[in-house]
Amino acid sequence: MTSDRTVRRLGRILAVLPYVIENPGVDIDELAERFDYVTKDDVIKDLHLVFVTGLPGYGPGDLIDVDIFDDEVYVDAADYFSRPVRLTAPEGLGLLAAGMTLIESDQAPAALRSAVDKLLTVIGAGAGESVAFDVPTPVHVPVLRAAIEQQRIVRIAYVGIASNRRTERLVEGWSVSFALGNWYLTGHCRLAEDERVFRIDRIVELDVLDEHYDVPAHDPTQPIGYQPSESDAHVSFTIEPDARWVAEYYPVDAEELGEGRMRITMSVADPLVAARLLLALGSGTSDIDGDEVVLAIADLRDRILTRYRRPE
Amino acid sequence: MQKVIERILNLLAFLLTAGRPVTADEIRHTVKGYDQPSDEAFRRTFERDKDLLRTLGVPLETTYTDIWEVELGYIVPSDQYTLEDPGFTDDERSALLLAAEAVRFGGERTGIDALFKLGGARRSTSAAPVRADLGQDLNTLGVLFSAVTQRRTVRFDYRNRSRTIQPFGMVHRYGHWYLVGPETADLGTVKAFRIDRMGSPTVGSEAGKFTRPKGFDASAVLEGIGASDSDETARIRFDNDVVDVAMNRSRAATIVEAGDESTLIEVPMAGEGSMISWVLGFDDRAEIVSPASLRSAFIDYLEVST
Repeated sequence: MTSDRTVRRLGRILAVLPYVIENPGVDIDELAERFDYVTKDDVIKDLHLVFVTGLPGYGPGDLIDVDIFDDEVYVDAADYFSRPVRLTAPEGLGLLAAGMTLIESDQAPAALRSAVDKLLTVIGAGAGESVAFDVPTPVHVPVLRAAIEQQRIVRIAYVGIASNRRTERLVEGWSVSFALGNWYLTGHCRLAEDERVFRIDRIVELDVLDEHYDVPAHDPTQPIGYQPSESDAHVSFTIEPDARWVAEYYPVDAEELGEGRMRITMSVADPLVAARLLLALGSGTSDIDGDEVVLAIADLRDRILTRYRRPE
Repeated sequence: MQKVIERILNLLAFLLTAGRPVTADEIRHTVKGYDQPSDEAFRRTFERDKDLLRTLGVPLETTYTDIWEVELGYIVPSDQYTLEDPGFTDDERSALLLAAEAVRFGGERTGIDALFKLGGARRSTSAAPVRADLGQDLNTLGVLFSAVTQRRTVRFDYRNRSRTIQPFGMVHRYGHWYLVGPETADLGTVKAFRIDRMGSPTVGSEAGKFTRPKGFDASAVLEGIGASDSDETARIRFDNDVVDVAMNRSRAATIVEAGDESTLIEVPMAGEGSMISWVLGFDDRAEIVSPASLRSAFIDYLEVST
């Protein structure tokens, strides 16, 4: 079995060798840090493995020569491994996308710009103009980051995604992140007395207070997006071919019905969220099954129409 | 795992120094580690090792061993094997590491192993400033990206039709990835295709199939989509609670009249369908005021919908 671990280990060895050949006498600790080894012993294990490989004949003059003196590493007789392997397309794009995203979001250290320029020369001509990253960054992002760094409480006015209602909250911020096309603030909300995720473009007022807080020791990284819970509402419905994107966009169970139609089953924390989706899909859906959500659709439609019927 | 790695290091050393195509048979009898008892066992081992080398980015090619074209052999062209040295400084490597740790693709961390090839990096003291997830897994994106850089056509199913396009570029926007370029059947129109909605994309075998226009700007193509050609605008009244959310989302919105409870704003008119779903997102906290045709379309939509 060729496991991912084998690929990763071999790939790392093929990167460490050129570095040592280029920098004879490099310290083992530096290799461990640079190449993300957990311990010094792991570096030594990999180097010992290289020591028994080489060219046919496999005698003393054919094998790769690895020497470790006082933690200094030397590699000889391996000129053919003196340059690293070229980047694969996913590797090149991954680094480029990561670098360009951070630059675009205005959160990058200065050296990242020149790093990305150099990366582009390796990846190939025209790579720079052929990829673009549009990461619209709300003005609140830098302010929130600074508040988190200084561990200062923020007061926000927030319009809830599910409720569309405005509330004022005091939040101890933990992190700011970009996912699913939006920026989010994760932290402890004093109103909810619990961990909460806020979409930053729905924060309509923001004040940084002088009051400080302690960040919890555990890594509070709740994945962004829907988290299942026992109190969820459930709904099933049929979608026409032009609404198939729903199955890819939302975490749902989808069953093929033929001719491009699908039966979707989804769970939501708030029936209103599903109601809004189903109302937006309109004639693209049919056979909606799920009492709470069906009621929520009727209620939402009535509320909106009531507004349109009242005199201006 | 140790034996596997030793064997593949021996194989790669042999291929890099042979300077000519070598046959599988020669590899079996020359390279240490290929002493499998049966032909079948050797073949399986060798196939796996080749796959593994290719996964790492090693350009392993097959070619005839002589002009008589009788036997196929393996060769690793050394000029294609190596990564050129662009002269990264340690600060630049650390900055790339910071970016690689901040950015995920469909939850997966990716860039760290790639960074090893650039000489590894020491962690800078500042923590990752932000975190980002660019959706879509990198394998699909990587395949399409190589089509872009090598200028190969891409064929895929999209909205119940098979299409072949010249991929000029890729754009990530609002959480989605797009492949941008004209269909070969209609080279005059550059379009954007959502990558997550493509069915079974395949990349053409021939490189250099097209030329990207000089000064091509991939994100400008997306700017043009959804924007309206006319100067028509729509006026929508939002409750003050939510009006800032609406303003945040639409860059071209302007305030017409701010009241104590609600605010009237004006936005460029987009397609009727997208206007309706945008306003629906605000429940009963928003009301289309004009144009009258959009207002009545919205009411009709709600009254007939299931």
